[in-house]
Amino acid sequence: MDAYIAILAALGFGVLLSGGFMALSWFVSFMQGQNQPDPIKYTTYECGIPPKVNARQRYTVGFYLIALTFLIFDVETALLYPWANSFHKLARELGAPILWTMLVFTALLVVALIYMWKEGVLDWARRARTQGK
Amino acid sequence: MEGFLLKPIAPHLIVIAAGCLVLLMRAYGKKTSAGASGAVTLASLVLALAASVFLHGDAAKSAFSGMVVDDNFSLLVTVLVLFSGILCVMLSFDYLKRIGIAQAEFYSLVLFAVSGMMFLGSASDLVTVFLGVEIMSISIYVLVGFNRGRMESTEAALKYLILGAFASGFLLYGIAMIYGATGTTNIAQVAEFFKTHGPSQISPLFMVGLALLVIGFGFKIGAAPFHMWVPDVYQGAPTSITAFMATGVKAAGVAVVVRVLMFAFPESMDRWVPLIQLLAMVTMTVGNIAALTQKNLKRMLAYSSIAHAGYILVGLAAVYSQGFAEKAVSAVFFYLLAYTVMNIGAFAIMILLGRDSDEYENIDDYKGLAQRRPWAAFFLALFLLSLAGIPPTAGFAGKFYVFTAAMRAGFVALVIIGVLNSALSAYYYLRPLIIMYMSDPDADIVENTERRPALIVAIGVTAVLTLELGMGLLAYLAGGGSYYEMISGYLARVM
Amino acid sequence: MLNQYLVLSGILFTIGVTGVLLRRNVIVIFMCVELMLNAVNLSILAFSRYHAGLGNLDAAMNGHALVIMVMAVAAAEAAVGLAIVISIYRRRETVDVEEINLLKW
Repeated sequence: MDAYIAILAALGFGVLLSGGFMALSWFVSFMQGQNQPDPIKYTTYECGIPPKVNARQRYTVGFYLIALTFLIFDVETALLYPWANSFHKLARELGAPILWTMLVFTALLVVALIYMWKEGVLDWARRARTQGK
Repeated sequence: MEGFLLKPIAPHLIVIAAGCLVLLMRAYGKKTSAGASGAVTLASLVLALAASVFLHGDAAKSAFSGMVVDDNFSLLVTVLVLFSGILCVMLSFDYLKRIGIAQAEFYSLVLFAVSGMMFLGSASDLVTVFLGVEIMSISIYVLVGFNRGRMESTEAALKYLILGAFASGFLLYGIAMIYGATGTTNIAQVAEFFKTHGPSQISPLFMVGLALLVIGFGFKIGAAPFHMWVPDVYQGAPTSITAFMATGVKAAGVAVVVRVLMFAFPESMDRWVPLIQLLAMVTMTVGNIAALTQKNLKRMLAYSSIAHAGYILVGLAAVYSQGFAEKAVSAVFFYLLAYTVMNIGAFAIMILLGRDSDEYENIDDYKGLAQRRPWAAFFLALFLLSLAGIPPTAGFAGKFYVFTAAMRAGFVALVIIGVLNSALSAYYYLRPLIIMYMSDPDADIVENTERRPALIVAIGVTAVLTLELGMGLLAYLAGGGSYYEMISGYLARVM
Repeated sequence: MLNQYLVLSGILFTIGVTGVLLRRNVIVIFMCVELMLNAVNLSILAFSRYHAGLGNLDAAMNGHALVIMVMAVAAAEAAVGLAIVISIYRRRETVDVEEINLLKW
């Protein structure tokens, strides 16, 4: 049970610490004087060129598709790493199946890639052209 | 060295290969109709069903260093989810065309979801359990939001995704703690660990892990108090997917609960059975009370599916009876089978009557249906009576076995609550019946009159099975062979 | 050392859970879910190290494999999640869960 008391104590300490910081900053700003809002204070950075448009613009969905594709294919590669690392040892013990299993996995990724290709996810330039017109 | 035997996962491989094939057909032949993909899907599911039955040997075979196992338990789960998948595809043919989302991707996602469920059935390692849950859930997230034009559909997908991922987090934390406590993720080795080290090793770490696992699984099977996503998601999803989720996903979820709790932690049964009992009581009551006031048939069936999850948990708690555990698990499986046929039947009628993009889901739409479509009204009445648990239907037989098992385990209070709940549920199942048979038809309600052969076949199969499973109870009581006896015969060999 | 890692992982997991329950922006909710999964990864790795310290190297390797599986799965889940969010945003112009309420919770 001792281990759990340590967890509780750490949690309590965290709450106290963050609460303490909040109280401190609130107290300091309270002591520093009152809140005097002013239109200039609300502009971006109070200096430089005033922004012309809202920063939250919509991008073409192509960006998201590329991002999603990258996310999947990049992280699935992580599965290859431990396999490659232990390939020599395992191949000596278990033989060819070690190679097949990873080939099957790669084949599944290739199927996904072919599907995306044919659906036009990777056809980035044409999408931009047709949307521009 | 058992190595890389492919035979135990041959049915899984068939389903996955078919899923890839459907995707590639779509990629290379833009003109291939969705109907062709549906046909390939149906054929592959039937092939996988045949493979799982014929390749199945009596002895349990494990493969891939104990990650998957092919035993009688996994055979039952595989047959159940494939059956549910086949019926779902049959329901989808016309429905997808009607609401304008007939795309090949739908079928390939169904296939991937089914493969995840099959892996859940044959998982013998907590890592496989996690992967199976995720393969199933991720496919289902997309399927729920497949009707992109309908806002409810995408919204339901978002809710399901957030809560599903949340539940996966709990599930995984539970797995991590059990791994920490025992040093293994293999289900047989976890059980072995507790057998050799004795109950003194049941540490707080392990108990927290167990509780987190139950929370995670509770979310997946829609048990109260983790049920809040169920009505929204079931209502928003395309109807054939709702039917699939209520039956296939639930069956796979219950199966994996049984697999993990019964096979990994039989030694600590006195710790988790009270938890399951509590869940069962709350789930039944919450589901039934919330269903009472529903005006939307789809939403009502969603709440009723929560209630049915409660009855299933009653059966699961009943494994506590000494020496009769396999009887209780057979009761759970029988209930799942009965629930699958009667629930898919009810959804099939809804799809049959729907017209254009109208979902035909308000209970008031069914006014005077008996005069306009006597056969549809008759079959819907049959399925609703079965869901209410009126003899001689499958629903009654299922409840009979589950409650008998709970009595045998000595849970009298649980059985009393269950029976009271069944009586309560009769109210909302009978209301659509009264509306169909007693009220006059509304002039402005027009339902579909096209012929839909796939749906008719699905309704026929489910109706026959509903009666057949119900009649089996008589044979069982007379001491003859029944489906229940068959299931428990299979399970007795592995439990 | 095990305890400290478990405490950290517990705190991260709790922050994730709190975020999922309290935040209103769907993207932030997804980040919190990822935080939950990665907190679990941390504790699995800590356990793995602990079992290695006990001399149980097989158990340690199991933990590493599990972590990599979880990472791959989490990426798939995030991709599907973002795709669903995009499809909602294109119809509704919002990612605030309080405004996505056609169906009652």
